[in-house]
Amino acid sequence: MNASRKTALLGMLTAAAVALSFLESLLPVLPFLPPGAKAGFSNIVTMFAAGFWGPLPALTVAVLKSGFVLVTRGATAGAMSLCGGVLSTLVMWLCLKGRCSLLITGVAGAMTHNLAQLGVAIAMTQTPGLVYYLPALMLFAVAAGTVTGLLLKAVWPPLTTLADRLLGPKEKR
Amino acid sequence: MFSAATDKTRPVSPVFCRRWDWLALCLVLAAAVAAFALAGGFAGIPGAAAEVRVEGRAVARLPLTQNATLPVEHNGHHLTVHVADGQVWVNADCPDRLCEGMGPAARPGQSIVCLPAGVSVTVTGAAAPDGVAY
Ligand SMILES: [Zn+2]
Repeated sequence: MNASRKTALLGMLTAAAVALSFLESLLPVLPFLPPGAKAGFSNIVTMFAAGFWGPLPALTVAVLKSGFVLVTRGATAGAMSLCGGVLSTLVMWLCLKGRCSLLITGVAGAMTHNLAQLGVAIAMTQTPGLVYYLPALMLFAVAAGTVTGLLLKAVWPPLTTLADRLLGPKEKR
Repeated sequence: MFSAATDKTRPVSPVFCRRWDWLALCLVLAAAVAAFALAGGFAGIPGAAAEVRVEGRAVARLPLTQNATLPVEHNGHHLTVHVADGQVWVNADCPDRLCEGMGPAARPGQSIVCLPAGVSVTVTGAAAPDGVAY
C-alpha cells in the first residue's frame, strides 16, 4: 500500500521529467553554446522532488530520466544527462536544505547542470579550449535557472497537493 | 528510505527570491560578461585557422582563408569539416547531430564538437602556416 503509493508518485514525477526533457530536445540548438547547453527544465521536477520529498527520490527521478535519454538519444546524450542530472539534483537539494530561495536554487541547479555537461564534453573530446564557452554558459544558466525557479514557484502549491494526495495520510507514510 | 520530508524540514511555501539574491546574480552576470570580454568575445577578431582534433590529437589545421573540405572518421561516425568564407562548420552522421548546429564558427576560441565521434574543431587566432596536415 505504502510502497505502491510512493511508486506512483515516483512514476508521475519521472514521467513529468521525461516529458519536459523531451520537449526541451525539440528546441533548436542555441548557436555559440556547446552541445549539452540545456535550459534543464526537467530540473523543475527534480527540484520539487528534492524539496518536497528528499534527496533519494529526487536522484531516482534524475537517474530514471537519464535512462530514457540513453534509450532514445544514445549513449553520449545519456552520459551527459546522467552527470548533469545527478550533480544538479544534489546541489539543488543542498540549496533547499540550506533554505535558499527558489531563484538561487534554480540558478545553482542550472549552473551545475551546464558545468557538468561542459566537463563531460571537455573530457570526451580532450579539448580544454571548450572553457571558452564557460562565461556564455553561466549567463545562460542564470536565465534558465530564473525561469526554472519562477515556474516551480507557480506549480509548487498544486504539485504539493497532488503529491500529498498520492502519498496518502501523513501518519501512514 | 524514500520517507517523505516532515513538515518541519519541508519548505511548505518556498520563497522565490530573498533580499540579496538579485545582487548575487548581478555579480555572477558581471563576472561572466567580464570573462567573455577578456576572452575576446566582443572583439570580432577573425580567426586564422581551424584545428581539427580527434580525441584531443590534432589531425589537421585548415586555414580559414582557403576553402576546404575534410572528411574525418572516428568511433564509427563520419564528419565532413567545411571551410568557406572564413567560416568553419561540419556535417555529420552522428546520432545527435548537435555538432552541425554549433557551426559556423569564425572567431578565435570558438569550437565545434561532436561528442559521439570524439572530434573537435577549434578556431585559432594566431597566424598559421598554410594547410599543414599532421
Ligand atoms: Zn556530431
